[in-house]
Amino acid sequence: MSATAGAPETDSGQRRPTILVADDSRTVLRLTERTLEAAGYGVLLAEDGHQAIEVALAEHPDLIVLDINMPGLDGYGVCHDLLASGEWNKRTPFIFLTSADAPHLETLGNQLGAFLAKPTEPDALLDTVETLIQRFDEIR
Amino acid sequence: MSESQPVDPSNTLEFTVESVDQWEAELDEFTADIRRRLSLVSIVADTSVPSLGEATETSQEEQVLDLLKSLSEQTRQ
Repeated sequence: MSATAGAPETDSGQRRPTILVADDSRTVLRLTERTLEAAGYGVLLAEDGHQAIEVALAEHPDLIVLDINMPGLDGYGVCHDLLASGEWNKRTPFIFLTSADAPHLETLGNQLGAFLAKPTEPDALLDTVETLIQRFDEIR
Repeated sequence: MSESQPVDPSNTLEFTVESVDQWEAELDEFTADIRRRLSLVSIVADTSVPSLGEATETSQEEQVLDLLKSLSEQTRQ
């Protein structure tokens, strides 16, 4: 799957935020992509953890929507490797979007962005994205 | 007995009640509101802690990295 589907600017010439979505389910990728693009965000896609790191370090998105259970390198590993890489803005927020049920996800979500349980309503995703991107803009 | 100080009207709350029960209900509501406000203050204070010192922030980052590494290893097993 192509890793990029975003454009750097809006029609009015403003830079539009870019979001990387990493998930091994093509259905989830497509649905999330459609939701985010309809709201005006640029979207990058990755089907596994290694691809997510590659795209993240190359494109430096404003936010990452990250699945936990992915083949090869899982979402925790992606998050760890990016934060430890030294090439990554550590304030970039993550949204852990997963059906994995674990109490530590709340903690990680609070520390690094947010945690949303699948299935998530598009409005809930967009509200969270908007809040985190605004916060990131203020502190980056 | 000490002399009473003049009261600043902006620091007073006025209740008009018709019974003790109503007074208690008003007081409970007021107390709950104050508790809620204090908990919000506490949350704001908590979120500002990492920015208070580099050491705290670094330590917190290390804890998050350790947690992520450990969880990733658990998932692989």
